[in-house]
Amino acid sequence: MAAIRFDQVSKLYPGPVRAVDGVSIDIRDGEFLVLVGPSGCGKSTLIRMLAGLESVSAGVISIDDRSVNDLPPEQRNTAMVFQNYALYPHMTVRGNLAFPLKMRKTPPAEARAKIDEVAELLELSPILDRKPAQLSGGQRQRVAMGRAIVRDPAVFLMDEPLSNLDAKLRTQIRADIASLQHRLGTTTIYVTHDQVEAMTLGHRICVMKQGAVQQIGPPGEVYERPANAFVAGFLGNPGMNLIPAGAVSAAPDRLELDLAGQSLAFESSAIPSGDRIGSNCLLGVRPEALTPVKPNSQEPQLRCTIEAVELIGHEQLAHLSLASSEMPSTPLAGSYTDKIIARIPSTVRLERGSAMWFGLSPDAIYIFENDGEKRSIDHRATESPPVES
Amino acid sequence: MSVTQRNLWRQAIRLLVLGLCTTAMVAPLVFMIIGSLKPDAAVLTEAGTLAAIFPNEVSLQNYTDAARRVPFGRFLFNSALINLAIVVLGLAVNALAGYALARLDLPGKKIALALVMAVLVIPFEAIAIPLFYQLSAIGLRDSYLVQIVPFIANPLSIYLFYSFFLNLPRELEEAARLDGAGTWRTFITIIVPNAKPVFAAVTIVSFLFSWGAYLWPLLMTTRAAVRPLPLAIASFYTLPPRQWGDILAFGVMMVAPLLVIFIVFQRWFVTGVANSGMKG
Repeated sequence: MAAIRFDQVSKLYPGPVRAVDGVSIDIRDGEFLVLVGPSGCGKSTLIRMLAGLESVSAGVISIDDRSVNDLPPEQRNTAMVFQNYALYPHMTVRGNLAFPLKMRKTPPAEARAKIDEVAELLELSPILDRKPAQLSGGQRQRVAMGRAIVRDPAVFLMDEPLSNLDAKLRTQIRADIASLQHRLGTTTIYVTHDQVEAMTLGHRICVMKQGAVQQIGPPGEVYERPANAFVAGFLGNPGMNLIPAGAVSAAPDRLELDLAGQSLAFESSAIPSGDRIGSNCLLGVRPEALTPVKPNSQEPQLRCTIEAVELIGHEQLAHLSLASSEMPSTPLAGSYTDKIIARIPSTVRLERGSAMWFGLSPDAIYIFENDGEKRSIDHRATESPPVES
Repeated sequence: MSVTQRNLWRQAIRLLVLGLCTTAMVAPLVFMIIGSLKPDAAVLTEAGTLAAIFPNEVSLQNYTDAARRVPFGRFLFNSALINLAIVVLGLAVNALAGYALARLDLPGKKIALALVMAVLVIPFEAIAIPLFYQLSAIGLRDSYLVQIVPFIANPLSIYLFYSFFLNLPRELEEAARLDGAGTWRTFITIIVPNAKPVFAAVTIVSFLFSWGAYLWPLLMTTRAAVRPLPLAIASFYTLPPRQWGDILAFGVMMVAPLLVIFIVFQRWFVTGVANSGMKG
């Protein structure tokens, strides 16, 4: 087990392309950290640098306070589960499990005992004499896990290990990985672009974008208190709705927004002052926070048109557009859209093309500054007063 | 014309073209094998008749005559030794070169690869004379060494290995590195066992090229003690009387090891060539 530190770590490729840009993360001994972000955000590069498969352009990577920048991969005592498992095709499952032990000159009797122990732990005993080509996707995944844990590495690195599995198997193995990590207590860094994996697996998640860390924290905290519009939009399925809005007026306790001609007034002690928001901002609201209501001018409501409805079992996703197509101009107007998604119980009858009103509680909204980079309102930090009309 | 009829015509034309090509390829071999079993006088006289394929009488007399006229065993030994050395050493050298070009982070790698590709298109005949002077100057004439060393490094073999290794998943090597294997160990224990097809392909290709080598041994050797089979067969033309049955029998004996090699490695050969991006 080991504590890991990334200190101002950068990776530059010729071009120059800055794949990782001054990343600093402290990972505690035994912690399960999930790196999450869209493709090309630098998360895989980061763990490949830790494993020694990529050189470090700047900064220091330490394992247990010892810099590993110049150590070859075989001396770092890390084990990696690759996206395509990278099982040795010419070896049996037993051969695959034995290889790392053989490389470390483990005595044969000890190696045999270790292989049997891992095989039992991962239910690989019946397939020990098969070759990878004779295994199913789930079995291959378990063999890859076994090869990683058989030599008790200081750090587990997992690079999207579930992405080649079907949805059902993914859910099952996701739970297995979480329980295995809990049992072994080995420091683990898990890379994924799947935010469900990120939310369910890690002690903490680290959201990355364009080589830089956007936010690190426990999954619940990152979900509830996103640091910026990117994190808000990335986490959640579907992600948070981010609607460009004009701030008509913003006083310490009152915020009045103009959303495509619809005026919404919120009153809360957490409302920032007008000069912090500027004239335009992004209104963030989670799909599950949009609740259908009857038209009522006494509370903040959005009038939307139902564009499409997707039934997903006990719920349905309503794709909405604001009643007016006029959107305020913001630098992020191209990045965000007036298309809004609401998650609604399937018992509610929705009709395509019809208008619908959605209530917006000040507790459920997020205000991001004009550039989308900072969260202006922190309603979770203070207790919001009841909505006043 | 209906679609079915058109498909039938296409199929028929395809079969006809394939049949003609196969006949063109196989006919000389069949003619050689059957001719080697016929009395010497009948080989040419029956060439244009049905008896060229269905002989009236067969015997192994030509084989015993051919073996008596030239020391077949000695020439076979020479050819086998030279080819074995070229193939085995070539596999080691060219595989490592291909791997280095495909995988290692080396300065000047692109230039080295361009040079390999450039050498690929230079015919051996173009460099045979300068090479003759160079190797004669260092006293290597009339030896096995002079027939082996210049052919160990082969640009075609390097290219075949390079293409194959380029397509091998990099994660295999990375997994091995993380498991504790260094570069050599990774190459020997992980890369080589997974590169059987390309090793088979290179074995066949280099065996084919070197087994039939004629010009270079003719230039560099004068003693039968070190000369390979192709020079022995040439001696039948210069030693009177010219016996076509003997020549064909010797040809069959010379080609037989090639056929054995090809049949043994054929399964991997096709995969190897296909995986090397040189389909067909």
